[in-house]
Amino acid sequence: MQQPTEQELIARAQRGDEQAVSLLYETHIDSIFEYISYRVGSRSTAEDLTSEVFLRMVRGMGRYQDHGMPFRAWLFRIAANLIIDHYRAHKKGLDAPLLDNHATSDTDPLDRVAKHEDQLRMRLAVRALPEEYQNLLVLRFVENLPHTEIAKIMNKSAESLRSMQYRALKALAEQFETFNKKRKTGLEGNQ
Amino acid sequence: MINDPFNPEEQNLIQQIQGIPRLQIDPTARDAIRQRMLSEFRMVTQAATASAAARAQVVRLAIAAAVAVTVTVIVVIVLVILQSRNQNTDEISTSITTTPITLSVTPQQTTTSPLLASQTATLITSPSPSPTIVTVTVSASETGTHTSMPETSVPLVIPGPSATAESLPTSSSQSTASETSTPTATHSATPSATASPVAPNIIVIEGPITNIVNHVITVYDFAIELEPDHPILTLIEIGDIVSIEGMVGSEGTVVATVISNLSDTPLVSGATVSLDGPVESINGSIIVVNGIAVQLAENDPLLQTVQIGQFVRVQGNFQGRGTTIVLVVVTIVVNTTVTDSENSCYWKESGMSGMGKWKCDGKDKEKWKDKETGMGKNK
Repeated sequence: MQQPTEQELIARAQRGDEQAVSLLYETHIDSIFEYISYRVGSRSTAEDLTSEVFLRMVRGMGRYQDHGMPFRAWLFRIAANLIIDHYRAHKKGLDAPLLDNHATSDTDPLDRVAKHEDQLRMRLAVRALPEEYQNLLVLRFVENLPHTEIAKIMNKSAESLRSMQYRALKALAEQFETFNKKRKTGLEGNQ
Repeated sequence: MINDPFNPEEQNLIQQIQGIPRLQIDPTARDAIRQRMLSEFRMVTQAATASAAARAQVVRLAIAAAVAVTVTVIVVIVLVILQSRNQNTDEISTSITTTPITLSVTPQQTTTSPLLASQTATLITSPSPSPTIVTVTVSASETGTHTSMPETSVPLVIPGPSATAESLPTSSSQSTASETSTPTATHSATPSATASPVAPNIIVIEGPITNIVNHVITVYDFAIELEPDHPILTLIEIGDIVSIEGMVGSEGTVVATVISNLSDTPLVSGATVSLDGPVESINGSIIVVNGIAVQLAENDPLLQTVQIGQFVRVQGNFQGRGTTIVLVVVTIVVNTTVTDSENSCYWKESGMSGMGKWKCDGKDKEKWKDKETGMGKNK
């Protein structure tokens, strides 16, 4: 049996089909949670925001129309706005980034710790970037979305995103270097 | 997937970003979010269904209201059209078109009025916004002392006046009197225009009185209503030729505004009434003749000589003075030729071959008499 397309699922969901809504949910829940968890500091917050994304999805399902905005991009845009609202509401600085401590395959504990620290610094470096840079880097290199789709999510042109991507990577490199220097300084201080 | 050209440093950064382990959503949280989402979805769907039903209801009500309004408007338009057609019908029935209307005049009643030789009433209507003057012209001829009382069948349907009626100048009267030796049984009148249903219609009717009931007289089958206390009611009688100006009242009767007795005496220019009788009282410039107040000019020399009991012939016009009506004198002469002081009677000449009638105390004695021969009849 041929799998229904996303457009068909959307149409069915707009007619009140719960099964279609469930299929859309299963299609996008992982990427949305991944994106949110990359941007916020706690799993529970990521789950809450993910839940809110899909609540808004069903509330806005009747009004959704694909006017050049893919359904996935629409969901990411909801998530991005929720993250912005979350940080505005809590006015928090850099939360401790979420890392999966069991995600590495290294068997050497020292190597595993070193790699874990590198990942932690990278996450801290990403989250130290301006909001737009974070959004762009996560969507582009974590979620692997094309520029055209990111442009829809961020409401910018694809060309401006390319130049922004250059500046974001440059800023990330500087930020990552800063965290590396702090680490070396800290290690030297400890010695 | 990512085909953008990157330098080695950028590629290293990208690999580090992509190398960060990704969190997986907890299955319990995944199911919880799903259930919450589906619950919300059901509520949204129900609300949308209810909203759609409400919108449909509103649309139905709006359609029903629009239909009701439309029907009402159509009914009103139809009523207006029907009313307009009715008015047009009235106009048609009222209008006297260019087709000549024949007024059949047939002898109906014999009267003793000796004066009538021919009577003329002309129906003239005009569509102008000014008061419409309607004059009925009926010619009747007769000889001797026999007078044909014309039975007129005039299809005159004139709507009630909607504006103030204006008196027709006396000069517009179409009345003519002439002797003729050839009786004519049928007469015709040709209306010259169409009556306007809007403008007030002033009717001028001249002809013989065929009936008097209280203050309603009949001329050519027209019921003409006078003021109940109009003094001329004491002067006119059946057979008298009168000229009446008036308007058609709500009940179809003509309400007279001006009435002149043309029968007995030729009227001087400017006068519409001729009154003969004894002077009953004198009060300044007002004398009372046959119970009728007669207004003389303040400097009228007659006031110096007139005496109570003298018979006078007054010609003038009735005018309202407050609640009373006075006869304003145009000409007044003392008639010393005939008196019957014993009975306060006087001879009222008809103006024809010495014919006349006695009036006593201002009322007709119904006594016909040849003045010179003494022949006559008393009723």
